[in-house]
Amino acid sequence: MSAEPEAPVAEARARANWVLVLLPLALLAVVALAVKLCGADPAAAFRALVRGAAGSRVGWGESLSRAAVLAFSGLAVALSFRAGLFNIGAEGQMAAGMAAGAAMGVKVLGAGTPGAVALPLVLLSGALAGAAWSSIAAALKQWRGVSEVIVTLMLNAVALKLLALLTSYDGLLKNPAEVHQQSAPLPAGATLAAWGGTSFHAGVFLALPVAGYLYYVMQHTRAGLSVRAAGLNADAAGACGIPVARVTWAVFAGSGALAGMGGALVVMALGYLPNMNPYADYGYMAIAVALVAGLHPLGVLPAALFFGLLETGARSMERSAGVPSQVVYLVEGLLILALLVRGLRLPGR
Amino acid sequence: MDEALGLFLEATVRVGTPLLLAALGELILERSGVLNIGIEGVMLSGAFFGFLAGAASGSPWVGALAALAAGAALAAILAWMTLRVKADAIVVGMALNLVALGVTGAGYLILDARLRQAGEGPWSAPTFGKLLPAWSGVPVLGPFFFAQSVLTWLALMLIPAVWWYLERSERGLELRAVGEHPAAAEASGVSVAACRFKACLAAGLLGGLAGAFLTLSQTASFTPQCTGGRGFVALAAVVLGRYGAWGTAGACLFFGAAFSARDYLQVTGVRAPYELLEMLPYALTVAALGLALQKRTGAPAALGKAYG
Repeated sequence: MSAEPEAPVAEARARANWVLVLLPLALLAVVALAVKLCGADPAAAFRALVRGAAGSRVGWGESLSRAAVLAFSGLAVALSFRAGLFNIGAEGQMAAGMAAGAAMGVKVLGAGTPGAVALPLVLLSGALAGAAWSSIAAALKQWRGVSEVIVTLMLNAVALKLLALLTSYDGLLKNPAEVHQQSAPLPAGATLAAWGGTSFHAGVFLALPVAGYLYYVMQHTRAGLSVRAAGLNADAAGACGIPVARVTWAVFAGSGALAGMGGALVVMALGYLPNMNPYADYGYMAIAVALVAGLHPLGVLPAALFFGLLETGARSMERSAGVPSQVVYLVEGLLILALLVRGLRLPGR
Repeated sequence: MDEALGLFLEATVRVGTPLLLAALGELILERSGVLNIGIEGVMLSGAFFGFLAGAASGSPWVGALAALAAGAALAAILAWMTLRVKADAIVVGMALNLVALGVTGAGYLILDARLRQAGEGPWSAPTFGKLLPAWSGVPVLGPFFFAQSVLTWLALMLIPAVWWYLERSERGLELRAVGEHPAAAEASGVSVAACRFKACLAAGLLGGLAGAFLTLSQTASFTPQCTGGRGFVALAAVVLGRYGAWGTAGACLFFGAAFSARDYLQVTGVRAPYELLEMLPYALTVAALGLALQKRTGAPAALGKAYG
């Protein structure tokens, strides 16, 4: 694309250096400003942030369970961005996974279903629903030439309303015995117990093999090579005999399945389907996770942990110092912009 | 025509107004070859800062000025990131959405906490007047035309203005050339960067004003995330309108009707779950895109591609 090959590289390097210096300062200034506006003591607020996120077993438990949700949606984003596809619908695919996982648990599985059967079935239905939800965007892109960006954004809004719909009517998934709008409880076998008074659950571990598997597929298999090649230059990949259309379908389905699995884990840990996504906007934060990870599947894990700690810490800061946790969005947005200024580019762009 | 239908038509135009303002700005921007996914954030910032300045000053016009400034500020970041840094516009746009979500969400809670500390109730913003309030009693046409806000009339008048600018003016021809073939435009003496920068500003100003309409006309208050995906719907309207001013306007009114259908159907006694009706505009967008769009979309050839 660029006509002059050398100058932009040097320029990007020069930028990289001052961004690295300015970024932490800018982020600190942003948070300090928010703290000041709230009339809180910055030092106390910062202590609350760190202690809340990583100062106790409860803090770590919450940080890790938040990180797991971010990891699944982050992997979903990383996979599609590597293929040059802008699936920004992890939010909706996660919600679809939550809905289908809950439907499987509430409507299909009996009360006495053992965990060895129930857990994989709930997970699988979440993955399938996520894949189906993202395949709508794939179909419109492939058959009608509609940009996946708009379709996935619209489907996010639809999926979130779907949660409210399913938990509001007795014939659907609503718990008739419950005043609150939420689904009937999942059978005991389909739930993941919290560990010792924290919100940590065994499902968090699942992020590790899934990320490892995605890394293996992307870097060491023919399929992964096809995905990466299609992402770098779809025309060239097609000319080399890579079935780009099939890769597109598969990436959308895989990406949706990853986000859907994250959604299924959420309902397994909660034990019911809530009427609003308790991890609202994590599908958008996942973009920050994936970009910080450099779209590398294994990099997604530490990136998700970082943002999980940040989210948990910010909530604790909100409780004890009154600083709104929404500043996390601001930090994430600025972080993405800074990475772009530093020279981060997506494959094929 | 019965009363419910009259109110439905009134609501269609009213709810379509912010979509119209945002989409016409986005149309100009996209015809120059830049995509702004951050339009949702631009609208949200306009809504918040418009509300803030409007409520603090007591004048909706001051609020509108603040909304214009907030929209332009975000658009300037978009312009700098895409034109100078040459980052991908989609990623920049999503980052701008996160920035706006953080600033407006935290800003609202901070304001709320401060007001409560001071023992004051929540702020209420002044709203824009109706154009011809005395005439709104005229049957059917009254609520449809004369009960609308001045901003609605501004939005409606913008449709032919944007059409004329894009399709008939020399500047518009240059802008379209930049969107279709930037290298050729540059060779003919048009500055691609300057043209796209101005288009970014126009989209930011109109997007900010669209947000201000939500808080200074439709309601008099701000709630976090009150744009609720309307910016994204405006994006879809441009695609559905095949990148033309009249088509985009038609799509915006269609979505205005989809958003208003919820109340209309409930008034007329159609028994459908509320949540299903709330889904309607978004689901309709997907369906409309799928049904309407063929491979030939009317999109500028260089849309979303960095230049230089």
